[in-house]
Amino acid sequence: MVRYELKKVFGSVGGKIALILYIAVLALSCWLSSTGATNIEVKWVNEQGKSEYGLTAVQNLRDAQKEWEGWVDQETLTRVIQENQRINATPEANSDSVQQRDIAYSWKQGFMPIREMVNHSYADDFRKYDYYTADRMTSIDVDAFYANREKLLTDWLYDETDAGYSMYSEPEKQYIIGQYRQLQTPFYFTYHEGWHQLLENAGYIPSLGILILGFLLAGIFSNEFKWKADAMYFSTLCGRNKATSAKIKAGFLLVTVLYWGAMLIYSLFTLCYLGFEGGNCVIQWLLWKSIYNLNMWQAWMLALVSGYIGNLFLALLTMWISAKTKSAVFAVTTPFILVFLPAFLEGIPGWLSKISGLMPSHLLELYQNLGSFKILTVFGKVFRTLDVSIPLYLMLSIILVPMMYREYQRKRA
Amino acid sequence: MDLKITNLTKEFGGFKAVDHFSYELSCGVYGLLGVNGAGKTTLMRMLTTLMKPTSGCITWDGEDIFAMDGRYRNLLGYLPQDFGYYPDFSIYDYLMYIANLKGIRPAVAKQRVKELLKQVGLVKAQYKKMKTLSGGMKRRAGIAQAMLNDPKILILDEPTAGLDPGERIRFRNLISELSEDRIVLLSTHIVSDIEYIADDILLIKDGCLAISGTAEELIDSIPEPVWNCTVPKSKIDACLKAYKVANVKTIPGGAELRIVSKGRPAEDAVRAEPTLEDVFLCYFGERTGDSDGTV
Repeated sequence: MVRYELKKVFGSVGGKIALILYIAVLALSCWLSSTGATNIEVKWVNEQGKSEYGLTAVQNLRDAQKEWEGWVDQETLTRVIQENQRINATPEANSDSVQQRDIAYSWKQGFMPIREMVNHSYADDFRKYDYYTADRMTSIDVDAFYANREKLLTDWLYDETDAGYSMYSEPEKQYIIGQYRQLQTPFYFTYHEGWHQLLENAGYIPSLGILILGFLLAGIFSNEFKWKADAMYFSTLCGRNKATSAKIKAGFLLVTVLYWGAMLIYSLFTLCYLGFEGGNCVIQWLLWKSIYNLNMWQAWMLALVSGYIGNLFLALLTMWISAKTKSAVFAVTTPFILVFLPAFLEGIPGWLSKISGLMPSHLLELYQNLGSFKILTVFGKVFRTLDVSIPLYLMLSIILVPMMYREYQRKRA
Repeated sequence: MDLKITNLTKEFGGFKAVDHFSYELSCGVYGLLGVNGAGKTTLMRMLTTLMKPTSGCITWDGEDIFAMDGRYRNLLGYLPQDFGYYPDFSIYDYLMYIANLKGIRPAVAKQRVKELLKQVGLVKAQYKKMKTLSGGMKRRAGIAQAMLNDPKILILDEPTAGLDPGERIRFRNLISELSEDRIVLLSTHIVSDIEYIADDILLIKDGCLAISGTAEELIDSIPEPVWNCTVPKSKIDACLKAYKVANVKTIPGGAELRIVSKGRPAEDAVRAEPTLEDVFLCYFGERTGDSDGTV
């Protein structure tokens, strides 16, 4: 019966187009994570100062960064500062020629992520970033390097002139600081571009995919009425029980197979192309300010799970509305509204902005969520929104299943 | 095998679509005859458990059909008036899917589908998509789906609506073939659909059972005689207003009229043998003329 339900979904021209679009989103994600967008792609600047892309560039970058692999301790930081100083003193670095300066840059690529961290750690302000901070440093202290992260945060949260002061309550401030303190130091560094690109482009499949899935699932219940097949359907032996279950199973199967299939292909493609190394590096290499103390592969697992729960909830909600209203139009607009509404709510100051952090769309864009300070106080206890929204939407998804079953089962033609 | 309808009433916001309808059906073909809006479809939807009655009950061998739930629906074959289908399914897929809905095991379903495709003459078209079929072919696929579970109760709501005369005759014969050992309830507003195949005819008017019986019984019990007369052209309109006119045949200078009337409508009027159409006209009067002009 599930097979026939899927046949109803994919039998139409619209269904086939939607499937092609889903595959296109997957292809877009793979393209963006490998050689796509110029602002985030993996690039290697060669000894002539020219940019290279593709597999050779990836291999060169990997080899260069592997030389700096290890714990970022006093010795490593000192080496980075010294090497940075040495390169900055070369004629190439001080040349007026862009190409010459690019040659100088090419020598820094191996330790560039550590240099970036120094820029963040020694920034003047929590929200400021200066690319040349590391260039001005002649020595570095490992304790200060890690402690600065908490110091800048504390200043931002307790300085009355800063935005952070009024943004959070005292328990919330303490919670954020506590998360910073719990992060284990020193960090381990190795080449991690595969995980970087994987996480950075992870939102396309869940976010765009759910809009397509919504289109596919919106008619799963309501089409019986649209096609006027309802009277015959409900007058059969299984029309109000097994057939209704089959519709739910088909929807579940559709969202599960498409989501996990696409994410698996995307993960394998990206990691095979850019490398599996660096999964044990902390995500602070990418998101210095993050309050999530995770390494890259843990963050990726969380992204997969949160994206799936977001997709599952929105898919089941779409199906429930389809069953409730007998209208595919109402149903198909649901994921659109829920995906785009938070962008509108976030612009409104106050509790609406905080609530927007709990919207299911945030589960789809995990990378952005990991880098934000979205927290909530529930009954006096402080939570990160992800800690609340993942179990919340899992629970709501579970509740929606019997709800839509009962709703459709009781429908009279 | 006894389907009993007792005092069945269905109200929609004060309007009684079916009003204290009672009847008992056992094996045979029953024709439910009435004008559009008489309550035929509402009655059938209650008989198929799609709609709950406001009052009254329907029992199958003494047991309430709504309490029987799935057990009752397992006995049921239903072809709705607005027969919906899945446009991108082939006839074969469609029938296999409905067989699934009816809880028929796949191996049995395959055999049953094969038999029914042959019976309804759709073997050659079985892999055609439903959306590409003609109206008659769709109806035949519809009757095949209704027959998949070899139902004890076969309910056909206006099965010939929209069919051309040839398809209509073919469909009528098909129903006659399938009527053995089951209750077949066929609703229509077209007298000829049931005149020759129904064992009993139920005339439903304003939600109530007006009269029932065999075609002969209904004809014999017609309360008003039937007349044939010729009237000049100038009197045709007056006759149409004054009498229930079953037929108007234009002839040079006037028209031959077939009139149902207690009194002799014209000097030269002669008594005619009544038909089921006359009975229908007698009960439904001027409302007989429906959208497609067929009586």
